[in-house]
Amino acid sequence: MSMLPPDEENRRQLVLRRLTGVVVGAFVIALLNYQVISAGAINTESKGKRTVTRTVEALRGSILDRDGQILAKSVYRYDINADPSAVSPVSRQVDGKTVTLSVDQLAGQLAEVLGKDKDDLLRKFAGTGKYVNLSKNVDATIYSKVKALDIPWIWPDAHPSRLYPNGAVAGNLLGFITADGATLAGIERKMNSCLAGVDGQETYERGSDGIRIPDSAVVSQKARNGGTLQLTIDTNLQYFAQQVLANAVNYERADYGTALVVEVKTGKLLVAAEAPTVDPNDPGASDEADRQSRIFNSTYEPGSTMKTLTAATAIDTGVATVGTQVKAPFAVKMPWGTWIKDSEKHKTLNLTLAGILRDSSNTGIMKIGELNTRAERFDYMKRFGLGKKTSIDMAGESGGTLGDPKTWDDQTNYSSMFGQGIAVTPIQMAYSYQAIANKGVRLQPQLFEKCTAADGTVTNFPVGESVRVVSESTARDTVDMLEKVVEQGHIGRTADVAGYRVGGKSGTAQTMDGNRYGNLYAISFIGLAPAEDPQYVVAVMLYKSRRTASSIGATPVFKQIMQQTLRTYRVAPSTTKSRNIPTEW
Amino acid sequence: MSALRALNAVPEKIQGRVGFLRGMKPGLARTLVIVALGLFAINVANLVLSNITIQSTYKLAALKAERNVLRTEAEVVGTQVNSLASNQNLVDVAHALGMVSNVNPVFLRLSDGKVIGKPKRALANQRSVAANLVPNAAMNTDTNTELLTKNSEVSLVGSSGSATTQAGSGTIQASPTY
Repeated sequence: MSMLPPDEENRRQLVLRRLTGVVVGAFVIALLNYQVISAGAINTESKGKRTVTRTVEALRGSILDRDGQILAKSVYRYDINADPSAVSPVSRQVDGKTVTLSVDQLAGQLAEVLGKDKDDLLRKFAGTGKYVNLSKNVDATIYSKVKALDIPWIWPDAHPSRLYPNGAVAGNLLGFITADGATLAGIERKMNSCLAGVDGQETYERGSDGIRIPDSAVVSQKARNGGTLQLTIDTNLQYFAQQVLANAVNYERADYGTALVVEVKTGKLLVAAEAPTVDPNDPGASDEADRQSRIFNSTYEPGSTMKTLTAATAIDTGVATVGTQVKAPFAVKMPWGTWIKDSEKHKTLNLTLAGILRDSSNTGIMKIGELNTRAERFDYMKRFGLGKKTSIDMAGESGGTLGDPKTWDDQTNYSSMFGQGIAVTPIQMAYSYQAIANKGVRLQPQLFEKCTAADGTVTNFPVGESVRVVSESTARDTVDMLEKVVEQGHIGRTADVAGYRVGGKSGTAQTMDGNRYGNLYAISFIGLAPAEDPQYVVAVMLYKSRRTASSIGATPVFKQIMQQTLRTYRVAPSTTKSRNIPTEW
Repeated sequence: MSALRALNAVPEKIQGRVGFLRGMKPGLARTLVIVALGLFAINVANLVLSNITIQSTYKLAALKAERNVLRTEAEVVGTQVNSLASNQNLVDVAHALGMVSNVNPVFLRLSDGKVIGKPKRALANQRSVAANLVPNAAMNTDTNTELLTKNSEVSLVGSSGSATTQAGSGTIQASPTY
């Protein structure tokens, strides 16, 4: 029962109702403001705080060899960072007991895992900022060890990186990419359109605890991983060739060496070995000059391996046969006053064209070469693939230098017959011999098998048109002559592969020292086997050999690589004998 | 039909108890009650679904974290496999086991049983390359060749007494079954 007079009670109730009305009204107004008037702005501000936009990184595609062995692939690398403002001791449960590790102890554990100096880490922890990097580009093994330490103020940043599991195997061919993904050389650069992916982007909302809110993701661009590139390279054979070549370059104290293995009937490049080489995992460890692919980029004067092409040209144009007889003196004085000499002093020899190749006679091949016009020989050089880039068109590839036959001086006209005065790349010379081995048809070098896109679409690379360089009979004659080089030649004999008929030609070319010829040579040997039905061409060159001044320094390399190639591909030993052709008269 | 009857009866009972429904037409009262019950049911369902979604969200986040851990483990193992399968490691192992490549391959032609090639014993070539000359900075794991050689010695001794002298040299000579 109320003790107040009725009027007073009514008045108070009225005041209370009005006050309640004012409060409720205020709430209603505030509600209207939040829910209707300012709703848009509040929503936008709120969404802005919880919305995250991130780049979805696309992975770069792998590079495989002909058998699917991985030569390059994408992996994650991690930058290990710390938040100095949060650095503090960490408590852990060990055997049911709480153990507190001091910052000094934690720094010691981190230093051991990261391979860093503990005091350096402690200095970095001493800052007041929110971020300090402790180590960059660590692999997953180290990352997982860091994670196992479970230090809350340490966090990793993951980013895709490149791994070359076989190191420098085909390193010069593969090229490499920088930490920020720029392709700097080789196949990585040349085939970037196949290998590179396209980063995506997505926007999503997350709660205050960082958890993504379901169904909030909006993918504005879908990430597309790069394609897988398959090469024609045989990794195991490539490794073998690199081992043998590196050994020879060290032994001969040469500037560098190259070795190629070509599958004659397909034009596929099985091996493109170089020494010194580059490990794409650590390109900085190699000199800048050794990071390129000299097989494509560097030219040299081929020397006597060119005599094979001069001889084939003469036979194909009908001005000579394998048995054409020539008197080959040790030296010939040219009308313009210079001397053309053979490498070793000898009395005048009665040689056939086959004998000229066997003895690698400069004076002899000169007499054969002059039976053709310079325009004819130049035309054949072009058909053999010299003087222009291959269809691979590798980054930085050189086309070599043949010059213009109309402006060749007399000395160049003659010296080009035995491979001086012109410049070629190792791959050009290898494929000129491929033409001879392949019944006179030169195939375009094939290095790329196919590109398989992330969605499974396969793109095969068009193989350039083949070129009929010489007739089949000329090619056969030339192979027969090359076989005599290996059967009877002073140097050629050292290229013999037991059980197989092998043909080949040596080259010992002068090299430039400044603007004149120096005392060092580019020694080479290019050969094919089995001669009765050539399957493989192996081309070896050591540039500026300092121990051996003749191609006898290159034949052991040729021999080992050819042996391994024939064994790898199960080529049955020869069962026939070489053609009986005269070398002297 | 009985459910429909029950639904029709419920609003009448509620109408009798809830003040503001009294005096309303039964049809309108029934509609209001059904709408109210429907809204309530929707809210309950929404609450249940929200809870399930939130639970799933955390489960999803946990699974993603687990996936990342597994991905890292796979990467660690993959890198080790790459290292072990690299040419450099395999050659080291082959050398440690005393393996020598035979440069005189011999073929047996099945059609006529003819042996092609001259069989010769495989010998370590003077010019063979003993050390790895092709660098590989990606190698973070290699085979313990010492252990491998010891294991091979044990297995050879166990299988053939004649192999004991070969194994005693520390490396195994060329295969006795060439």
